[in-house]
Amino acid sequence: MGKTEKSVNSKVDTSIRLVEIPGLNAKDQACWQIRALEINGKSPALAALIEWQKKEPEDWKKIRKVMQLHGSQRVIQDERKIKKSSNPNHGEVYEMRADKGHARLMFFYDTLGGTIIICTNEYWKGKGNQDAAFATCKRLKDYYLSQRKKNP
Amino acid sequence: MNTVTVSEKDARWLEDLLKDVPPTSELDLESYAAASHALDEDPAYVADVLKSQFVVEVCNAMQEQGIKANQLAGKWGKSRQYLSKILKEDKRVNFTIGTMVELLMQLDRRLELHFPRKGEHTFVMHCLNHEPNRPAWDSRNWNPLPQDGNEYEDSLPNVA
Repeated sequence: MGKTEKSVNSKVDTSIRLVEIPGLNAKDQACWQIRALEINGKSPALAALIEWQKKEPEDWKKIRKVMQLHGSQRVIQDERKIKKSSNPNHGEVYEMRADKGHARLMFFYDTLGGTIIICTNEYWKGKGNQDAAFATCKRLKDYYLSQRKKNP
Repeated sequence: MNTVTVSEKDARWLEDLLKDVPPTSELDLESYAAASHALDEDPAYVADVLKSQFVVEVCNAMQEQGIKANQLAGKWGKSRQYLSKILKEDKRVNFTIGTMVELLMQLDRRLELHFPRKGEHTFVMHCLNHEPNRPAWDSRNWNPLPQDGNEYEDSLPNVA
């Protein structure tokens, strides 16, 4: 028991940074900069975009369109494009949706460090659990914010 | 790159989350950028983005003015079904510039076209005719880093 407690209480350093999403120009990000969260050198959101571009081009086009639209618009009211998690435990986390498609890209807003949309992870409709994908986004958001409070 | 210290339990969760995520190589990023640029040169895709942009603007203007789709359709003199098809980006409805101008005018908006050369970008600056009364700037009350999550949440746009 004592051994477990020691294990849980020990701390591990984790590197976090924001990376650019290639192929988005200044006009696409006139209102919001769009970035992907990278943890320990890996970005689930960017990896998903790269995979969709290769294997699911129709869904990728739809997600990219939503990215371009939201990057250049402060607010998107259309829930077929941007939807907030309906689970109140998740707080302010959202998904970009491929309308009539399967791809979903989870994100949150950072309005204190600029005006940034931070893409965290993906969800493929019909595979896995959407609520869990939002929960992952929320947890990654918490890591990001704790890091930013430490290094403003 | 910044470092955050997490508990071992959280570190294990992160490790689990990232174990199936492939690292992104320079080649992947270059190939992704090239595919994105190719898409921006595809007339069908560009037209689709512009059409969506128009619909987003209409939806935002409706929200701003608190006008519902049936009210807007009535004001415009069109059926609710027709307006609904436009707002749902129904592929069967291929609206004209005339339709766009008419619809935006119902919402006190104008349609403007810009024709930038390749590599140029246009940005729109929204100017008000009259400067509204704003509260005086008080730097003492400005806190860039709120102490708890609630204040952070309050600063977010009401998107949903």
